[in-house]
Amino acid sequence: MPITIKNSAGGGVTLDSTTSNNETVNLPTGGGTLVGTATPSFTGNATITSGNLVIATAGKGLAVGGTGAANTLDDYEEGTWTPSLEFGGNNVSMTFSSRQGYYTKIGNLVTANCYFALSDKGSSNGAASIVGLPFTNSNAGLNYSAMSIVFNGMSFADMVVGYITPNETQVRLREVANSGAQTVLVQSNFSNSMDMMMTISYRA
Amino acid sequence: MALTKVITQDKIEVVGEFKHVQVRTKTAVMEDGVELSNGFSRHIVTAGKDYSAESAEVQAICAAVHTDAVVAAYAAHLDASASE
Repeated sequence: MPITIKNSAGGGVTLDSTTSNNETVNLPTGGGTLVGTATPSFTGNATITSGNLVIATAGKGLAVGGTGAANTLDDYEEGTWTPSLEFGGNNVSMTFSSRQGYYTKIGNLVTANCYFALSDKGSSNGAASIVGLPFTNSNAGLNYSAMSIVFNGMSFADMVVGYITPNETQVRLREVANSGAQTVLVQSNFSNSMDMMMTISYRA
Repeated sequence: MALTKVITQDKIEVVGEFKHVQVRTKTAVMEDGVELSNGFSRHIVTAGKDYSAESAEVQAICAAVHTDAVVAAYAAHLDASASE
């Protein structure tokens, strides 16, 4: 039988807090729900002993240290992506012996890592880039990010770097000489059996 | 008790002035219609890229947003940013 407590002066339910007993509201254990549009407020910790805290509305989240957008964790996602290598925007006849990418997005920060190995670098040529990233880099001003990289089967002088520019979805690969001169890496810098692992964090 | 794998493109977003089409693919393991677990995989279709291997829904979106003007603008953007 439903019980209705009307919103009159002094209405509502107040548990007796004058004793040392642990007053408790027991909700149904058989799958019942507590439904409402109220804004609960606690002075103690809130604990979920099992199950998730589900925020079902896109753009809503967990506000920490403030209630503005910059203080709200409103997105989290983890998954996979398929890295690919291109020369001049193409990878004709390129063959991968293995490749795998993973990502985690926390708020607007994406961290993506991957490994890939070639068995044939194909016939395309032009500037080298890693493509297949899971999210577009934000178009915010000067939103550049650099990657960390380890590889085998590449020739270069004197250091390999990679970066992503605003509003793009690829990591551009360059070589930087000790003199400071920077040039693009191209197909001839890669062997047919090269492999690479890389990680990059960027703002989506 | 039947286990099934259900693959859907559960989120397709058009992002930014160059209309990057971000596709999230969800793979769910279901038991008698109840989702037991899921995982995501993502990829992006950029303007000017061949999208003939994409799903019909993604193809339709790419056809609508990857206009000649957008393709040209993104190509010009890539050329300009290559020197950065």
